[in-house]
Amino acid sequence: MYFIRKLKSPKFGIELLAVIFALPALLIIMAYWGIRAAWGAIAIIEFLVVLMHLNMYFRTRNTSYLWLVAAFLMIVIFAIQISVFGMTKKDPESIPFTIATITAIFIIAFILFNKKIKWRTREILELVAMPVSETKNGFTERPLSIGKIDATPYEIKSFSLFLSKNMIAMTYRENGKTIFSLSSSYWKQNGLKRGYADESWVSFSDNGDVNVYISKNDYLLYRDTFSFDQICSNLGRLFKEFFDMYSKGEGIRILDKLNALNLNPITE
Amino acid sequence: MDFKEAARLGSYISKDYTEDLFRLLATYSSISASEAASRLDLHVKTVQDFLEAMFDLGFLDREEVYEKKRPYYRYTMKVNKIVMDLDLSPLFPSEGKNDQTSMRIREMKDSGARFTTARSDQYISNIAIWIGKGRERTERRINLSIPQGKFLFHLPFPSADFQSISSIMLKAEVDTSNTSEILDIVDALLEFRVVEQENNISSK
Repeated sequence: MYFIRKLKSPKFGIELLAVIFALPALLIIMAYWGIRAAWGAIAIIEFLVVLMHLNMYFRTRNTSYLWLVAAFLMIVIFAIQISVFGMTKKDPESIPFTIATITAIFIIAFILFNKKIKWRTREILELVAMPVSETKNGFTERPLSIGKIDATPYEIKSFSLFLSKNMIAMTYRENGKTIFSLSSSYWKQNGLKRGYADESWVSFSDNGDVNVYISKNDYLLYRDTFSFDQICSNLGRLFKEFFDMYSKGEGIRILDKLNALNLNPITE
Repeated sequence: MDFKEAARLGSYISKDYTEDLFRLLATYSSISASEAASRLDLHVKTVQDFLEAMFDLGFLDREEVYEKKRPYYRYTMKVNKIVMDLDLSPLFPSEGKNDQTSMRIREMKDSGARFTTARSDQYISNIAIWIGKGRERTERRINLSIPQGKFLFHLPFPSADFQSISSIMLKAEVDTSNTSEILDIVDALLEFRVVEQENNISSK
């Protein structure tokens, strides 16, 4: 779908920076202590990634993270084989290990390029700004009350599970309401930090009240000072629309709507 | 008695020497400030101020007396009972004030106010406003009643259309019996430039 982008171009992600810094570090380790030490460092790094993905599975219940855990564990085992046991390409076990590692890399690539673990924050922010053309600014730190939805607590719980599984929002439950937080920061997107402070959110109370809050950081992601009240209203309406779709068993249409924007799965 | 007179009376009645001074005034046919001060071992200015205040409030009579070179006043008790009758009815909002609910308002752009939402419900618990400029800026926090908090929760955003106070109250499910406190907080926020009124915008 072609549309006019309302968000600024994304900045370099921390993952890219981590790779940029990790590569020279690995080269230095290899230069000083040899190739096996470098593979040992890779094993340690990838094991930390395994733990991170495992944490994210428990936070979101997205099964793609379990696939990533398995894939990265394979890479860890491969790295340990080279580092600790000195496996070379002449060893007979190197062939199955190599095939398994290549398979693991394909699994990782498939999950990444199919946006299975991509947070949809930018898609949501683009969608809510799409119909807005006025630039009256009007930022405020108050939440906006959108109205009510007709939903039982069970339906809201089921909906929240759907949203977290599909990386649309991280959900929190407190004081008789469910908060759907649009994760923007790297630390929260990767489960390294909890809470929805300083993030945009939509809340559904057990009474059906819908409130919306857009953080200053997310508002500043827009290229222009789009009318803040319209952005907030649209965000609330979008989540109400998502809930309606999900209630009718058309949850897949939510993902279709987000995927239709065709944002870059890696950089956005 | 109005608030100022009541405050003046209250400030003197609360002193620990008041009863002794009144006892002297009841005992003596007339007494001067210096006589009373020396009798009670108080500073003459203290007694002077007290006697003048009681005269202004109508509880004492005074007579100018000439002795030696300088004239002075002698005070006589005029009443044997003091009743503080303070009429609060002027403080109650008039019917005309409640008609202000047709005023159309919204939050002012870049007001700098920080609204704190109550965790458990849909209302604002307090507002923090920055007052002053530069290094003399201070933060003023206003704690809100629940009707006020509900009202402000539904206050239109700075870029939204103006809405009348009555329609905001309806949306916020605030009872009309709370109108006077809603108008009070709106007046305060207009003064602090957190809220703007539609008429003020169109006149610019």
